[in-house]
Amino acid sequence: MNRLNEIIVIRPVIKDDEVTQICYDEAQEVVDYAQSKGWKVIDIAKDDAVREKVEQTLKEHPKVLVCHYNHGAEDAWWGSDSRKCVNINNVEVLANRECYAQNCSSAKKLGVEAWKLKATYWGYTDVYVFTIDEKEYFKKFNNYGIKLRIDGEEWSEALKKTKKLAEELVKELLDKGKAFAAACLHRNAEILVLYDEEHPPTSDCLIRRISIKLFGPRIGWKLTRMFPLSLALFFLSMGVMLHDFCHECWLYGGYSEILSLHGFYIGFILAIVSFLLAYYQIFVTLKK
Amino acid sequence: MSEKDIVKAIIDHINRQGNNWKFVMGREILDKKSFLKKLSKDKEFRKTIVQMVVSLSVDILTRKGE
Repeated sequence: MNRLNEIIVIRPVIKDDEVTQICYDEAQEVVDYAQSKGWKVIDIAKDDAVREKVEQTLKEHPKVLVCHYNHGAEDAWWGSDSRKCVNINNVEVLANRECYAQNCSSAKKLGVEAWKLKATYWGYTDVYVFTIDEKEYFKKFNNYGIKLRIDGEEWSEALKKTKKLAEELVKELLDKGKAFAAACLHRNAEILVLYDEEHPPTSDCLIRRISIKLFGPRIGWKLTRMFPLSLALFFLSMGVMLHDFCHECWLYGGYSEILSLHGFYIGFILAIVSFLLAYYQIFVTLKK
Repeated sequence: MSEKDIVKAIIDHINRQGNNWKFVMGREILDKKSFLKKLSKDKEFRKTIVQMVVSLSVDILTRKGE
């Protein structure tokens, strides 16, 4: 998907924020690695990593693999000026692109929105945790996936190998007596996800899961709450109408009147059939 | 083993770490003292930490042939 041999690295540093400096240093290893492999690196670092600059660079370099090393939120990547440099409002800059989000929680919402726009998204569904005394272990884990990709590995294989690496690092930390750091790394491996054609996002919402099951991930994720609500309201209103009509028939002539052929029944069936046909048409169009 | 026992084990473990030990959770950086304080006061935080430890323990117990 991405234009090979090019990578955009976004690594803001926020004053007096130790975590952003650690992320910046981790990303330095990726910059060096990519350059050593002959890749062109577009480095949006420190104070440069603000929304306008990030947007402009991403627009000027469509389809180029992008990494973000800093704080994140469910719906955003943070920039150096404490503003969101990418969020739901400008998520189109991630469309048709491979995204490596080394930040907290952004796979939860932003990743799903990017995936809807045909992006491949690597990220975390919850808050990332680590202990500073063992940061080298976390750095190794964090950078492994992107290094594999630079080496030409497929994303799904990179994910498998990264999770395998996490198991080995956890073992090493346990052997060192660093059980808590091991628990942190284990959690990070658990919340690490990849969204692509083969690995669509999953959901905790029952309705969403049913939609995905029925219509496939691409349509299932496009449907909003309005869809089940409209279906429920339609069938509820049809039920009320049918009940009311049958009740009137019963008052007029008992059960035999209910069972007689009325124009209402034909209209009722036609309304349901036309409703289902209209929805079917919408799904066929969405699938295309 | 109750949650109380797990928390006690975590506290003992953290107390054995060096003075430069720091835990990072998102934007929050906690040193030993502030971590232990938060662990005792913040129910949600305690739940997350206990869950992390239990999850690793279960994973170790369920690994095959290792």
